[in-house]
Amino acid sequence: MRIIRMVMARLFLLIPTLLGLVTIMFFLTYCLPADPVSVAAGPLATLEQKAKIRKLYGFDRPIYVQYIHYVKGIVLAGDFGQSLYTHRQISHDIIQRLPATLELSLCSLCMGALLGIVLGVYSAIHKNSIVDNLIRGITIAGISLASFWVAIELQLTFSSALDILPLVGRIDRDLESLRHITGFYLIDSILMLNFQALLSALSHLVLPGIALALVPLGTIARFARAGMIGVMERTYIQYERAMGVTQRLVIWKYALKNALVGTMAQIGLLFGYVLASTFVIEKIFRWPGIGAYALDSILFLDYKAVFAVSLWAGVVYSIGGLLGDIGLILIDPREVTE
Amino acid sequence: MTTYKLLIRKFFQDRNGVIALIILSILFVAAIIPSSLAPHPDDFGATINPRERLEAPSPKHLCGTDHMGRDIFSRLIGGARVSLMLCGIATGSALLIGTLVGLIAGYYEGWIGLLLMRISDIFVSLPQIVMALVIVAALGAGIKNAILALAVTYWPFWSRVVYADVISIKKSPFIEAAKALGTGTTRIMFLHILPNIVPNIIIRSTIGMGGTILTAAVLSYVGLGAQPPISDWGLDLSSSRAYLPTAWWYALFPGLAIFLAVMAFNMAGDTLRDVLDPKLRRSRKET
Repeated sequence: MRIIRMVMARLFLLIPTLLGLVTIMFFLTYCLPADPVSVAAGPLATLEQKAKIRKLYGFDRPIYVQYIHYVKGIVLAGDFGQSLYTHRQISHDIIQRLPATLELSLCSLCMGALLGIVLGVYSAIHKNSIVDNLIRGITIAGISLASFWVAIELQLTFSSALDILPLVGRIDRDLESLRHITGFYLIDSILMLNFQALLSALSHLVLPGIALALVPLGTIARFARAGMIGVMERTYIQYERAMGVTQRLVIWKYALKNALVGTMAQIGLLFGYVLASTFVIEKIFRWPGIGAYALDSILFLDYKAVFAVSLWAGVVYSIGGLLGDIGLILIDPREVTE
Repeated sequence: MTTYKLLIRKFFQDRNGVIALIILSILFVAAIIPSSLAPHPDDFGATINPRERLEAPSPKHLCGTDHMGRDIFSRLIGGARVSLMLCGIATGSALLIGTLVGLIAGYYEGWIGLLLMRISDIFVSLPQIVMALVIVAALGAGIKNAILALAVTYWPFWSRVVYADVISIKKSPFIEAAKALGTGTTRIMFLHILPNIVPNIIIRSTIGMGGTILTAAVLSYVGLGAQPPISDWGLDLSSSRAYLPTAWWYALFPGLAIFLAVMAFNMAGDTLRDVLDPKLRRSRKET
């Protein structure tokens, strides 16, 4: 019950933060000298054409009127306005692209986290051995790599040179007509027992997934290792050892939980990191998700879309942090704060 | 003095720390005197050597040449200056503003402090790169605007770090003692509280430099950072895209340069943490 109350309180606190975020973004972009109308109209547009676009999108009204109208639209109708670039409803664009981004980022986060925990624990148990040094080298390299460079190198190696994995896209072109049930290709193809589609979706997921997973893997392995080393020195572990509990049980059942306390605090940060990385990674792999859409709308100064994707980023970031806190409570129920 | 000697000795006892220090020294030397180190210093700018276009690595051109026939190895050395300058200024100014804000907000805790911290919270509710991209896109691409955007989006991180530290330190007995002796507010803030935060700031700014190099590389890669013909790692990576997969060296080496620089800062940060902050011994436990 207390967990539910905490989650509700946190979600409630999210509202002023997101409102503040929209407000800051709105007035920040208003203060900046760029003119989205000129970009949208193109270099050859006449003054009358620009004025027409300005009127069409409501840019001719005073800023506070625009602001109130905009916030009202979001709160009352979930209406984020129309994109200057795709000329469609932004909310529609985002919902359509949501499954692609979620599929990619959740897969890489989960794989990175699982592998990170295993590597970190193994490294901690074999502290200062060759394997430990090797794993520590890999993890510090993992957090130091530019993910977009890794993406390019993966494409060069596995698509261009070896030709074993697809270069870009989310699924083979002839399978694109796959019926959308959830929009998640992995789930859809399993539901329809279409294993060819499943294989194709998986193979397209591998390279961008690796590029996104490196930082979560490195971060989690480092924190898991540090936590595990700290926990293994505690007296309750020594007691269990003395009682003859097997090493495997001590590590994976009793020590691991406490070792992951520090790791949980990183989950929100990693959500944010993966989300920000999808901007460039989706662009490189032509992944039809929100990241590529966000980057395009930023580069085209499509501010209404920018506000919407910023809100999306804010929500994901906060939910990541919340998940981390829930994980912390599941590990250690004393951590519940009102 | 002996404390410093002890700290320095501890730093050099760590193998990763020494490796990091070597890489960073090379980087700084390259940033200070790029022209004397680079085999082809002319290639930092817009030179064109059509006959040596897109050559694979050879003894003459260690990392090959780019689409304008420029020596990539030389451009990597030139890029060290751009990277260190850009990230140094951005991190430095963010750190100064953030530390000041954090000190004031943490010490006074009144409505000013509350307001400052709420603003920081809103900035931090978004990954840094998102807002940085928006700001540079609106201001126009270029190094100056990239620095500005990175600094503007990075100070809230520092103000939060410093704020948390100040809150925990200002309740210590030695601050109360200083107050009881009639020490002025400014003196307490800068001579009694600040020195206790400095180790944490040094550790985090070292790691922060690495992170900022990565963020700046993303800005350059999407075309919002350094503009041609400047030597910049992210920019070179971005221009290499048109010549892949044939010119594999064109993308490989700038990426490696970014990787080495970021890793050196990260490793140095880890070692500094072990040396300066015994409470936070994350990366290693003494055996």
